[in-house]
Amino acid sequence: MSLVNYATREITCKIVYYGPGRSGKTTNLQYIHSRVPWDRKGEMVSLATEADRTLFFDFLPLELGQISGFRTRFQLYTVPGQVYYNATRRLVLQGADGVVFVADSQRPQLDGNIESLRNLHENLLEHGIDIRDIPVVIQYNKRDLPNVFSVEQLEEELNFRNVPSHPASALLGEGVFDTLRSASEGVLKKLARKLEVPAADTMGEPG
Amino acid sequence: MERLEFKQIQDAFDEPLRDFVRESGVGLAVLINRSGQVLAQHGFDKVFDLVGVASLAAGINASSRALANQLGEEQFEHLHHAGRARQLFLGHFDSAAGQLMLVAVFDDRSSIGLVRLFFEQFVGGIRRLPSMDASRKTVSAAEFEAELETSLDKFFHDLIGG
Repeated sequence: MSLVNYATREITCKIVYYGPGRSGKTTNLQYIHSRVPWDRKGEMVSLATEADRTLFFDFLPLELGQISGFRTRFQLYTVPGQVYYNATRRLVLQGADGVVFVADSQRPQLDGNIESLRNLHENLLEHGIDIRDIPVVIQYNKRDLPNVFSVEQLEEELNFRNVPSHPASALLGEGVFDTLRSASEGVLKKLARKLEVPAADTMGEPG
Repeated sequence: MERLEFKQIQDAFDEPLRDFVRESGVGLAVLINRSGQVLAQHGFDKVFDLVGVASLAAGINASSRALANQLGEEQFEHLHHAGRARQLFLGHFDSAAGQLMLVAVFDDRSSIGLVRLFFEQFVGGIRRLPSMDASRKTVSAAEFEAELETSLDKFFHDLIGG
């Protein structure tokens, strides 16, 4: 849940990159980290196995700037995509304000995408969140590879809630910032609607 | 019930934290919530990455709690990691603001016993705080939304190449 600090005029939001193993979640964060100026980002923390697979999470803090006098920060996390890391995946999802679902566009990966999307639903429900109540953006990654489904086919298979979606080649940086922008906008628009509503706890007790 | 505004709560967090640092002799201390968001800190500067420490500590706390659940415990008590020069203490507690965690880093000028002793005092100080009331209307949602597009354009313009 977003942390809104009225005293210091700061907003902190958490966006989680979710998706099946090797779909490019870490690559998204690495590209963002490589392109954002040093004064707008913190250290990127990666907890990975020896084979460079995400073990717990990757973490990247970003500073968006001032909005209505609020210094606005994002904390980007990835989850481990591999099926057997579900316990840690659920933990990282705790307190998320928005989700970027990174799908692998390659044809053989369709079942993995569907399974991961289903797993996202389940893990959000574990935290008491209906997926319809949280901003979600889908990224169709690896568009640069052969043997991929068309975006239209992927929309049909994965985007039945008609959430914002973006084609991408995270390794080349294409679509990475479009996706992040879309997710940021979704999260902050939702937050804006809450700003005038008396909240029980604006310190942001996480889920 | 007496209720405090957010600024007062924040100040209220600062004072027990200052007392804890002074009395226990730790070098670094940060108070975070379960998501790893920083509520108060002492001693962090450019040498140590405060946000990184906070996010990793929240991860440790979350995984420790999940591990405890799997083993039939609600949650383990404090966590303590000792290195050659520095030691790390992670202590969680419930408060009016939900579960919070104190992360403290210390060297041979303190000890785990001292840290645990003054952590208990710190928790007592936080728990004596009145509940907060931060439900003030201090910003216009319409104004915020109007500025949102411009701010996002500004941030992403160079990055996307728009």
